[in-house]
Amino acid sequence: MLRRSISKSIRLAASRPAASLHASRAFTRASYTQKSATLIAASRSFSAVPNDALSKPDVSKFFRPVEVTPTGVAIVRLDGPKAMNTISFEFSAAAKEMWSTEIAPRSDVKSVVFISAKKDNFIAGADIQDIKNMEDKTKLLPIIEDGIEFFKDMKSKKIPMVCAINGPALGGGLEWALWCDYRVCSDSSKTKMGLPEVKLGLLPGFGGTQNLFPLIGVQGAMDMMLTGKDIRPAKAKKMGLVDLVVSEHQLESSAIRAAEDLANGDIKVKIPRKPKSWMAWGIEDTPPGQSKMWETINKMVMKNTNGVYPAPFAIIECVKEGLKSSDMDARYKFEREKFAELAATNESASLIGIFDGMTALKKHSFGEPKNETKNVAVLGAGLMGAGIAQISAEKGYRVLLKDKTEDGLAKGEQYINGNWDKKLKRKTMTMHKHNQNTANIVPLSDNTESWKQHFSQADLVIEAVFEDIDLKHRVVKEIEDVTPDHCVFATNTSAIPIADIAKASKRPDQLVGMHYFSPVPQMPLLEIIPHAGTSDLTTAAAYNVGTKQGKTCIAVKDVPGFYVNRCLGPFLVEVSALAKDGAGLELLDKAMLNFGMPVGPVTLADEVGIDVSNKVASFLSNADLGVRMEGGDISLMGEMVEKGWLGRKTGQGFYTYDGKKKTISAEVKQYAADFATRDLGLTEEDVQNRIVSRFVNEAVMCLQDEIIADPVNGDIGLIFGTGFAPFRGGPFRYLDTYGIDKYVAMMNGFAEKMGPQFEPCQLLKDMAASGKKFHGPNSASGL
Amino acid sequence: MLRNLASASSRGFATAAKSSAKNIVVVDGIRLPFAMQSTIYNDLLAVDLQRLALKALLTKTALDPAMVDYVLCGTVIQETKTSNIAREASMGAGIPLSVPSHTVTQACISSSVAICTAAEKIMAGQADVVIAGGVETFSDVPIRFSRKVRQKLIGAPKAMKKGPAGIAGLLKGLKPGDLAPEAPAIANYTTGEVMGVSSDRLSAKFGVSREDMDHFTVRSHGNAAKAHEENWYDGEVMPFNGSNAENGIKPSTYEKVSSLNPAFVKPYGTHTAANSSFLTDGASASLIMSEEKALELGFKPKSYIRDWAFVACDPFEELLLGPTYGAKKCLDSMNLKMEDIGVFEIHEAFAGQVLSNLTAMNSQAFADQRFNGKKVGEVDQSKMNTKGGSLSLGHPFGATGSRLVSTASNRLQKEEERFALLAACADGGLGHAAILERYDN
Repeated sequence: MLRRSISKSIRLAASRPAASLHASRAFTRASYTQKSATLIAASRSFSAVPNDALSKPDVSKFFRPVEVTPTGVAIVRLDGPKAMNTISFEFSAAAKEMWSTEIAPRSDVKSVVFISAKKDNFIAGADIQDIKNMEDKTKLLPIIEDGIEFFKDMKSKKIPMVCAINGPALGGGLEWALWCDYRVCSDSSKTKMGLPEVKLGLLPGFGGTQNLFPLIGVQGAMDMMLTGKDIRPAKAKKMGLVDLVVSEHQLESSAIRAAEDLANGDIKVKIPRKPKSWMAWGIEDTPPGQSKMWETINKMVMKNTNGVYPAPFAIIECVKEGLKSSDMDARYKFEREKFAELAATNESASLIGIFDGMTALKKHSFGEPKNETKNVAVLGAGLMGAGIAQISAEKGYRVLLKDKTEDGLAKGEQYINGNWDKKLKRKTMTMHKHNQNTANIVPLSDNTESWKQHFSQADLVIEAVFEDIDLKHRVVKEIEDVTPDHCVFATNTSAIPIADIAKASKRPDQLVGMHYFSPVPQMPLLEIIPHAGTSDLTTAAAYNVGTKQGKTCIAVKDVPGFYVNRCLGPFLVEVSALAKDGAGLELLDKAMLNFGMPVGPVTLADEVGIDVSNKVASFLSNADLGVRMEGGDISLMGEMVEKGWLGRKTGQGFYTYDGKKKTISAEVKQYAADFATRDLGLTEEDVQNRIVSRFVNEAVMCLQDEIIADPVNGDIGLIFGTGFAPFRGGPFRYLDTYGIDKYVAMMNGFAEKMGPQFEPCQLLKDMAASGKKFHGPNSASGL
Repeated sequence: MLRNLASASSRGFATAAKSSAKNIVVVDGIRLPFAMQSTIYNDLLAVDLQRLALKALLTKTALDPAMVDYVLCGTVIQETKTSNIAREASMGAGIPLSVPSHTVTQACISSSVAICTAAEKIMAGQADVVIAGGVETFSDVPIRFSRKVRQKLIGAPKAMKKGPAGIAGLLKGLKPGDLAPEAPAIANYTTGEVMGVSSDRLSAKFGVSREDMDHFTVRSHGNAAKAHEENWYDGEVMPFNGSNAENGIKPSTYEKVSSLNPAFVKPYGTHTAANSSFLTDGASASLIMSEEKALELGFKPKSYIRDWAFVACDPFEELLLGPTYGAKKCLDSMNLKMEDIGVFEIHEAFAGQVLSNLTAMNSQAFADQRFNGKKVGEVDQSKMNTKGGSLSLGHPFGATGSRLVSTASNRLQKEEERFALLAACADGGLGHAAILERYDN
């Protein structure tokens, strides 16, 4: 019971997925999706450094003039200069000034209401640029202390404080609310509360780790802080995070009434809000319960992160400290010290880098297409097509889902409805939204007489038919005949050059590649591939649709494998080379897991399908990578395909799938042993370095060949496309952290011993020589 | 040119009152496959079935949902959560929230009412584009507590305030038998009679034999099976989960059908499980427009709705004889004879009920009694229900009326006939008939 109550909800940020192909499912879910992009509104230019605080802060820049009602309720309206209120250094200084001049001296103020003057947000979070740009993170300590002093100062006036929340109250925004005595929130669908700091490798530093658990209990608090998840109004009320949920239109009047009632004693509040259940008491307040609870929480953290992220452990330590000590000042000090430590970690820098990268990639420079895309047609209702249709319909596109047969169509619809039904059951989707989504999908087969009529309304067509050039040509011609002139034709291929497909098109400038990853609803990346003749506006249209579908898009040159699969080619070859050198299958998996990949390469091949992996590997072997695809022997998988060991889907790949457990059978062991030609007694580190170096080198090669635009695209691409250890920030940030010169030296060593496939690419060598980095102010690209 | 001819020829038949009104056309109509209770739609609510039917109609016709002026749906057994099922289904089908909708009910002719109300709305200038449909599910019916228990439950909050004594008082007078749930019965409220019994009696009155009924039943299933085999229903029956098969169609032999025991009047009645329509889940929808609007939007309508009648007769004696009265009214008002009709679609609640009506229509004695000696006429059975009927396809109460309109319209087009007569009976002694005319495109 204990285990369940804790574990059912705790899914850590950057957690390790159980089984997804390229496998960043869980990490997508918990961490860097576009959702979190709004969590902490970043991107404010760095304007206020602590020194500015010496000059008098500008209160009116962040607050409307304080109003006091005849009943003594002071109404403080937050109104920062940007669309979203955020807590920056400058804001903190203004808040302090506001309090000390407008409220503290007034004896007629009997209570305070904090409310946002913005239409749709309270405070979206702390400004991470402030933190990011501070070179010496220990300098954060006095600034945070100052913030805590401000909150304590407000408390010391001993008048009730009410927080009225409409829209997001995240991170520092929720922490502000937690300092108040009473919280009212609106029932708007925009209203959400959460402490997402963990997603950036940080912790709630304005007292959050100390103020939350007494209010809602340790289990609920750990769940919120370790996952960073959003809490919606109804749930917030249920768990005691807010005291009252009202409509947006009654928010202010209700908050004022509550403030009056608190001031005159008509409402009394207790902490915790709700009497604890015996179960919760047993778990949270008895020594055996506590020890079991922490054990479970630790286990979950390890399970979901493999222990590579320091933030969850720091959060746990803060709460443990909070339970131990009654000295509030010491507790807040402990918290901020941990915060400063985390802010100085590579992991946090990496996660913030990913977050910034995602934000940056939401924009593109291909121009604005004349026609807004409203109707998206998807050809082929297989797993890919259905997935694309699903995410399009969810975002409000009208989707023309076309398959040859009623049967294929029905299977696609069932897949989609199955996914939505699950959301309905989990209450993450309302019935109305479910029906709207369903209504957005217009199922069409060859039998539907009106399909051409429907297609005459299509703005963008995405084909996800079988990978066969003749078939694709036929489809291009057939569809271009019935779609309007402005319609963009996007092809979802992973192997055929886009330019080849465009040969059949009468509007080749309107043809572009959109390479989705499977399973589409879970995988966060989309490669947009213009061929040489694609117009910028076409690329822009595809990019816009991909972004609205919730994908992070990277624009990639039309080369074999595009970016992600191209990098995976040398990776796969090296796995076979390692097997030849006697590395066991378990070792291969374990080494890469410990490097931070969400699944090991052997499991990955099984999940994707041995046949598919083999196809990718042999396709790239015959492509233009030359020596970089050598050194291994991909017949390792070729022979398995012949044997019918196709991976999880057939129950037998490298592993044998029998019920829950996967094991390596004696037969496979023998097969691997026969495949090995020698035993070098490889260590985990050898395996990691050999695989990762070829992987990373290929990524840099892509930058060198301008297949990707910059290291940001490159990092995001491999993290979102392959699950490349997010805490390492992607291949380029990893190289920066490791030291490019050291890395080049290591690769040269490998090349000497094992062959030219390990030779670092020219760009790497150049950078090693110049001492430049990929990221940061000292980077080669200036990014 | 053809169209002009067509409307000219039809004007000849139309009454003066109707000739000045707008022409009403059936643009298209579809149904979800009708299915036996608790089979393929077991997990869906009626509102889901109707929603899917509305959506299928929009897909089929490629009509922009924003063009819809009004939605009307018929249903009989109401789920209280969705008492205005038309509204919920309309919103769920992606029709804009600004499009109003209401639900109609008139037993087995509920969607006939929906369609005719649509026509009336258009004629009154209230709308130009109306979706009219209907739905029924027997996989989920409101099964309730007994009246006794309901009274107690409603009184409970008040009683609880009195403490233990109140609670004791609540339980007082409750018998174990009161706890048995109540399921809706297919019986008339006023007469208290189960419909099968009424039909059995009606058939006896008109001298319809069990043998005729069973032959008629076998014919119905044969016709339906053949139509599906020939894919005649493609485009009319929209696939659910990839298939448009209708699982109530069971081609059989006379010998087999005739071996069944009576189901209602025992032991010597004539109505059996085979020659009565079965409990069916299903939904249907028709797109009804003014002719002007249909042409403006580039549609090729299938038929005109030329005339319709709703009639009522004595539910004690002639519960299911409505079709005869309705047909009489329509034919007379259009100045048509039976021989002018090329397509008959007559609802088959029971084989006995259909045959009784056919007998009544062609009976001089009946005509003398009711119609001043002028018979309604003889229905040419070779033109009647040639693609199956309610006995074989099934009869989801609220959805059948729209099915009749769709099938009749498609038959007019494919068989190149001029006029279709639709007729259906309904509980309460109600009846409906309508005349469609082929639209020449």
